[in-house]
Amino acid sequence: MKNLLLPLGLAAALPLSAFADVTVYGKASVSFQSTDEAGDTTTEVVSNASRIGVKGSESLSDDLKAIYKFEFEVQIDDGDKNGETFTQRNIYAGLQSKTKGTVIIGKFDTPLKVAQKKIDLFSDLEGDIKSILTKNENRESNSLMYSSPKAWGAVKASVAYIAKEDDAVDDGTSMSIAYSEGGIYAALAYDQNVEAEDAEVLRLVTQLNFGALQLGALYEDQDAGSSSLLDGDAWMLSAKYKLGKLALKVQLGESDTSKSGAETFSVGADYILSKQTKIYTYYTHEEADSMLDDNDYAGVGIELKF
Amino acid sequence: MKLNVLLLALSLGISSNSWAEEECEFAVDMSDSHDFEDFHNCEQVTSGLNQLLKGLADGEKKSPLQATSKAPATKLAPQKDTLELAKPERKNAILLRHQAPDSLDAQRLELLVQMTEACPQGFSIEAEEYRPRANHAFLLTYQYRCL
Repeated sequence: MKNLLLPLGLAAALPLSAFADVTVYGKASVSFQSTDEAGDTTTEVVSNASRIGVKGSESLSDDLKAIYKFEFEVQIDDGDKNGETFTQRNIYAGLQSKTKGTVIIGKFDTPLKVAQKKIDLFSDLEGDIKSILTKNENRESNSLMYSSPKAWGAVKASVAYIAKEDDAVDDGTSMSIAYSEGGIYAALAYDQNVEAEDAEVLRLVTQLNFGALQLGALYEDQDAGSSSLLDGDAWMLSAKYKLGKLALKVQLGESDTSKSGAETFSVGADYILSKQTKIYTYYTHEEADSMLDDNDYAGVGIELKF
Repeated sequence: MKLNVLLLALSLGISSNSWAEEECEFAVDMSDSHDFEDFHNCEQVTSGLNQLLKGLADGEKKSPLQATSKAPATKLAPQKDTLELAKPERKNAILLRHQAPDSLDAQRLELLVQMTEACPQGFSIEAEEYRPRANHAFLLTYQYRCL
């Protein structure tokens, strides 16, 4: 309770100008799920990356503004994650110029992770590509990143430097370049020393929109170098079709980089109740050479954005 | 007056693309991208806590000189107790996109309904502002005060 009161107390003590251009945002996403994992079947309530954040900015000149974001995950099923009520997601402060781009410092998703855009149709659910297809969906601490401005048009580039803060470990680099025009999106991304020292990852992503139909594809090649990661590649295909308030989704993929011989597929549907709220259902199957039993998940949930 | 505002809004030349809708999607959706300009420039201050925060900030930004120079202050002064006078100005905002005239009217009506919900006893509109956005779109905001 004291923890809850502290932010309110701080807020009350702040001058009103501190609230200028502050926006509170987030989402609650929770599902009721049947889980068949490693031979054990359970029924769970699962919080699917529910989160709350604040963002804001201060104009420094016509072209320059200071920006910040604090975003935390909230476990609305159990109330805590490893004893923490709020766990850190993307948090940064930085400077933004309309003509020169944006520089931020903090903890945030790598450019390689963000390059997937929205082709992972089961993101934050059990079918998320990070579950079994890839180990490179990273949110790195101690990062500094430059992103190109919108003035560049259809092309966007991002480069992040990740300080490992250990003299014995090489610092990491993550970068991406993406093209987005009309219904076409394509991105190329590269990580070095991010998930592990000496490991390199190349990722290709494309998303195509044909009216109500969205198609996505991802290919990833991982060179483990001298690290304990696996050499290999991974791919994933996804499709979503909007039918009025209903969206039907299917996704499948294979990988040798996260687990040897990993395969997964998911099917699901979203039903839009309002601009803010939807209900969803999903089924995900996972298997891999190293897994004695397949994993199956089926659930129904609700998501509310604010 | 209404016709003039309508013509002004339509003559602002808004292209028929969907960028505005995408740009102003929910902050939580934009948050996962690295489109920092969209994320930090888009107005999501239309209701609830965010509207309150914006109202508080806007209230403090006004200097005493500005406050006294505004005609509505004298209009509101009688019969209002201190608590009511301390109410922040509030805003409803909407991004004007390319649209038919009746569509614009519908959006304006939607804002009026929101203000009515916030002020069951009625309200006075103190300002109608158009702020330029990218691609020749405009953000329409109302400043209003409950009666």
